[in-house]
Amino acid sequence: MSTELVETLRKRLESGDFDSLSERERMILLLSYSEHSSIEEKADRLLETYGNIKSASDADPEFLAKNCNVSIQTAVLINLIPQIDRFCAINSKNILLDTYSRRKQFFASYYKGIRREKLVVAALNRRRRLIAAAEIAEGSSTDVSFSKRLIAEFAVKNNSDTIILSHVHPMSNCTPSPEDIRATESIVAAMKHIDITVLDHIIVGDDGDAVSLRETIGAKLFR
Amino acid sequence: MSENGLHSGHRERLRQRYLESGTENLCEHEFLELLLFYALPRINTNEISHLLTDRFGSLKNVLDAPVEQLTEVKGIGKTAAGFLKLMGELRKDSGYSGKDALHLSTYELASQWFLDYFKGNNSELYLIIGTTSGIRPQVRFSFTPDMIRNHQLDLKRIALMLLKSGSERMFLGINHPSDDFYPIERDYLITRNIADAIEPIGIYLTDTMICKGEKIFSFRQNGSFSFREMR
Repeated sequence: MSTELVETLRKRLESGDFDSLSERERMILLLSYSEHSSIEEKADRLLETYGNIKSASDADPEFLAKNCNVSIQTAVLINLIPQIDRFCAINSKNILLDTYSRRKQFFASYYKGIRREKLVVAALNRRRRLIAAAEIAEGSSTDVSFSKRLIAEFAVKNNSDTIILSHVHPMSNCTPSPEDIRATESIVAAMKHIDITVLDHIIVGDDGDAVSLRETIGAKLFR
Repeated sequence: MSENGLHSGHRERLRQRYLESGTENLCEHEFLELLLFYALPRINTNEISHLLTDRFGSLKNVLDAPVEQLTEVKGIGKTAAGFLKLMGELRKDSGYSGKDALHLSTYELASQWFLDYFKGNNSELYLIIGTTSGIRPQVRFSFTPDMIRNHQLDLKRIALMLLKSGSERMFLGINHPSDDFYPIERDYLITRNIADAIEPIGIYLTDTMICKGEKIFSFRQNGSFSFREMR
């Protein structure tokens, strides 16, 4: 019975019918990739214990495996689901960073859980798509120093002539300080010498809010 | 050692790395490889993960790609494409973006967050959320009443998980689908145990919230934190 049910559910999934699947059907589908027997029974046990896939994915995998009689491989698979979203945000190449809100959202995700000042630079292509993002400097919880050489090197190595600066205020909100503005001016002036455009500077606060200096202060800061 | 043995050892080591330190030390193609283990149990998934990220640009794009485009990649058949599609859909409801990224800085926001999380869930369940000082969710950990009864709840492990995520505060949410939504003895006990075990390292329990359907009971609002110093 399970084999036929799984085949039917997979066909529905492959034809784009995910939304109409019930929570139980989704759990059965998920388990079909890592369990070889009693799939329906195990799906029912998981849903009885945790209520839905989301709560099961927040459980400790070793406890979930033991308490619901599934393999540790299955428990890891379920546990991976919420990690995907975070991983996607941090590692997405090709992501479009053409608007203030996209830039703020990208860097707010990037800095989740970060407790020290870090300067991250994003290198973009001409269509404002992310080529690469990397940490260029790290400081204490209140201060970060940076190297214009390293910023320039990063841009050049990634064949980019457009960059976005960002840093986090791990102990305070995202309001730009006078030092933040001076630093931005200094980097913009330096990068002009080698025809690299600094498109924006995003500051992320300890509460996860973000500010775009281009949006807040104006494009004149970046000329 | 056979080729299958080599792959199997590699797979177990990658899974073990994930269990020990999460996604912290995984690069994008290793994460995709870890996922592909499930769809392609007998094949070396390293090359295929590279082919996918080269074709679509990112893990996110791979998981958002339609099945027919995924099957154009060498080594990806309908089964693997369907699996990637499934993971892409499931992650939309489970991640840390969208409404999960909201602050829990007021009683209204925090209570709505828990009501949304437990909506439609008919299981008795506990949930610890670690948040930043700005009350932004960083990590979640769910556990069951059976784990409490059987002394399986490892508070030291939870403390380490909170520390690793950079959390500075935590909330405890409780789903009472069948009991009354007022706290029962076990709720007071677990609140006290969690606070006593974890607060000494500087991560403070901001509130315990009990949900039943659309009703919510906040320990802080109702003075039920009086057994400990309020923060």
